[in-house]
Amino acid sequence: MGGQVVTAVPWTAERVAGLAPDPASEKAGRALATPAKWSGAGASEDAVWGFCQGSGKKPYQTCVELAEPAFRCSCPSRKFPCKHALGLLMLWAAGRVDTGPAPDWVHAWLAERADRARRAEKRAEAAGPKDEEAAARRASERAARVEGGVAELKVWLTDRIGAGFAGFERSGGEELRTVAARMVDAQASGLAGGLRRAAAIVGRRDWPEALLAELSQLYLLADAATRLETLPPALAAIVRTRLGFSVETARVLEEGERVADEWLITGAADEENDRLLTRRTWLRGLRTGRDALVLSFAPPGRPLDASLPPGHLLTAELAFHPGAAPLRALVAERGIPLPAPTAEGGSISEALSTYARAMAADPWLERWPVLLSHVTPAEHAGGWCLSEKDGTALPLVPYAFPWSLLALSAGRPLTVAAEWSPAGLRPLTCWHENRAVRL
Amino acid sequence: MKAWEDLVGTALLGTRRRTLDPSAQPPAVQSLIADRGDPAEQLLSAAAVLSTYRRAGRQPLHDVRPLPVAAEDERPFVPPLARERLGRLLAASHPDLLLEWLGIVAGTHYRVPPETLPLLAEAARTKAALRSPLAAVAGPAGAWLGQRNPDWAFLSAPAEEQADVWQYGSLAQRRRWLTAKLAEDPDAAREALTGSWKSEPADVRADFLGVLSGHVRPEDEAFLEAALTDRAAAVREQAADLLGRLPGTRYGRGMAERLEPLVHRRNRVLTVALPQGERGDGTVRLRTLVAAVPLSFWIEFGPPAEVVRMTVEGCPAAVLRDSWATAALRQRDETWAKALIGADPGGRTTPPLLGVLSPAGQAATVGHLIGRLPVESFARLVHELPRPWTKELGTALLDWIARQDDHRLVSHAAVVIARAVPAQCLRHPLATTRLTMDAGPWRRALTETLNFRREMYEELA
Repeated sequence: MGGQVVTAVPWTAERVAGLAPDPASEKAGRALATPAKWSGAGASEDAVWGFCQGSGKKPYQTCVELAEPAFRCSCPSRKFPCKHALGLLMLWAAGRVDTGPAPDWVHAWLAERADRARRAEKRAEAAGPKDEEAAARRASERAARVEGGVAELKVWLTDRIGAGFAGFERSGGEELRTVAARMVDAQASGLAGGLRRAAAIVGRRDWPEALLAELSQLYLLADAATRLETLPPALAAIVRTRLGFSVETARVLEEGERVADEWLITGAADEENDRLLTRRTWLRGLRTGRDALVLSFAPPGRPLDASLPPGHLLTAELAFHPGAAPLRALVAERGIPLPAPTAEGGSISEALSTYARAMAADPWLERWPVLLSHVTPAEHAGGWCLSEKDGTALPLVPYAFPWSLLALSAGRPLTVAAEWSPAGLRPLTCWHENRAVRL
Repeated sequence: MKAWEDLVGTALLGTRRRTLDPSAQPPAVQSLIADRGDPAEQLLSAAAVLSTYRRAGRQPLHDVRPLPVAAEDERPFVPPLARERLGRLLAASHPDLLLEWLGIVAGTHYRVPPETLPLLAEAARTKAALRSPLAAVAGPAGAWLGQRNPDWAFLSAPAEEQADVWQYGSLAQRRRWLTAKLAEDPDAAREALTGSWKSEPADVRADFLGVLSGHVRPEDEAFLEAALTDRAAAVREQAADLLGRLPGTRYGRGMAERLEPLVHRRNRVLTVALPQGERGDGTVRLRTLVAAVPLSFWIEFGPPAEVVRMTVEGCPAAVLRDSWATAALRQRDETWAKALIGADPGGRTTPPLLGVLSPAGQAATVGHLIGRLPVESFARLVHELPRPWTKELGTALLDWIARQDDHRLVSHAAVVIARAVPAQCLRHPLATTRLTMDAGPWRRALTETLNFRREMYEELA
């Protein structure tokens, strides 16, 4: 696909909707996606702009820079992007904004942004070496705190197993959350997250079994943390990540393994934890067969990264985080995403054996991307599953909403991208009659 | 897996109360935990290995039975712009616009993308009017889905009604059966109705007469006349109403004979005496009488437009006028409807009487009303105009509202007009002329709705 692609590929309505910080904004945006609401609307390769009549006398001035994308609107909304920016983009995606030269106010804003970006870059360069010492001091302070947290958790775990889980269904959740809070203080967010998951298990059906599994995994992690130096570097990297140490973006870009490929964006799943939105976007390299996970974070009310629309193909170079069987990656160099009308996946047994290999490298793996071809939704034991022709099947997670998938299938096989975890499959995207559908 | 159950059991009791038996663990696990001193650490290490093993070695389900396959649907999806509009309709929950949209699609060779069916089915679950057009649009995929989800069973064609539904069905089933039968085999329907008539409870009898009202024909006279002496008042009223719709009945002639001696005209004064009776209110009896008498009775007193304007003595004028309106509605008499509207345009019988008029007559009469009624009264009338509106009526109303200034009642009427004008009116200048920025919100909303609907049709043309 070499060469520079200059004409912007029009966005799909779905991609625009993906920018909305919450469902209410999406709804409000849709209501504004009608030409009657806008005057002076126009679009260029870089930006879309227009005036939107609000409740006030003066219309709002709205502009979107498409590359990032970045938004600007004169309305007082604290949502980001606001409904005006969303409505304008929806109108544009529907092909109802004419192309034309940008007016001066749009030019001015774009120039201002470019200028700011240049200044920030300069500042970052200037700040570099001076902070190194302080950073090293902070890092060692944190390492010491995490070490303390790990030791405390090990003591708590062995003490708890010594006393037994009996009676835990009453007070266990609270006890686990208290320990989780102490791990947050110790800056070991990975351990805290595991304890919170354990807290959610207590009281469920078959909870002692699930709780033991969760706590033993935490013990394994804490135990590994006490002997990081003796572990192989790749495994040590995994342990550090699971403990909650992050690897700086710059380091990943500089030192991480680079894989150039044509990547199929198989799906995206959003989750809210601790007042932080997380978007997991899964990619599958068409030539290399590599799976990759790109994470993006945002506080509630802010948009998550929408540059990787599911069901699209992206020619890109990814930089992988360090670790054995690395999965998490950053997009280092990218082209423009193009719709992928079809996708080729594998069988259930292939997916399970890839998962087993990944588990061997990283036993703390919470979920794994699968791309299954020729699977049909079916019923099993009062729940739903995805079944191959011979009746081999994987269950869906109990909380999955199966009806869109069922409607698309109507009894016929589909290609489905999903996250696999011990709880079951969580379907994310499926391919149906030459198009990708987000579920 | 015995080794795992052993670990869970020990964890429940605690290693201080129950010692873990390492020999119950697989040899590989035994050697891994041998160097751990604390029994709790031994248990946690063993559990970490076994739980990872169980997760990584998870086996798929086997012998899952496939679901049946839905019939093929060869129809293409609605075009992209219409798909986007459907998204907006579902997000904004406009059931009446969604109903119109589905109705348009049902008349085309398009289907909707299947992933929209769950949301559409949920909308139709709460609003029954959407069900029939949705079932048509959803096609085999919808029917298939309706068989999977009992909440959406309406998407599947109902199973062939049992032959004995008339004998044993629920009231709703029997109503459905009777309605269908009246259309396809009127004689058989009447046979069934008269056959079970005597054994039906009173409320069911009244209900079935309501079903019959859309299909009443001269041959029903004897049956309805018998129902006039029913034990239940509701049945008697329904029967009188239905008989009033039939021309030249014995009942109508009888009522005319009873009315005859009570009515006299002297110059421009019409005297109508209240009929005497053993009990009850004379005006109630007069209402029954006048509403049941063929309107041709009044010809000897003058043409309708003159009669309705005469001074009335002997009875309340309003009662007489209301009863004429009832008769005009039953007999679908256009001349009388026009005369009554003309005599009292602001009256509460005006909206239903407009429904009796021909499309052209309706538009012309509404045109007169616009000139004669104060804006507030006319704006209120708009809400009650019988639907569906014709193109002529829609255009007259759009012309009217285009001339109005901001007013609370006008803005309410605008909402009704925007939704109720027929598709042929959507190219009205009101929709196609660009609004100025200072246009009031109601005018903006009106233009928007008209354009929204126009685009809906265009996208699916």
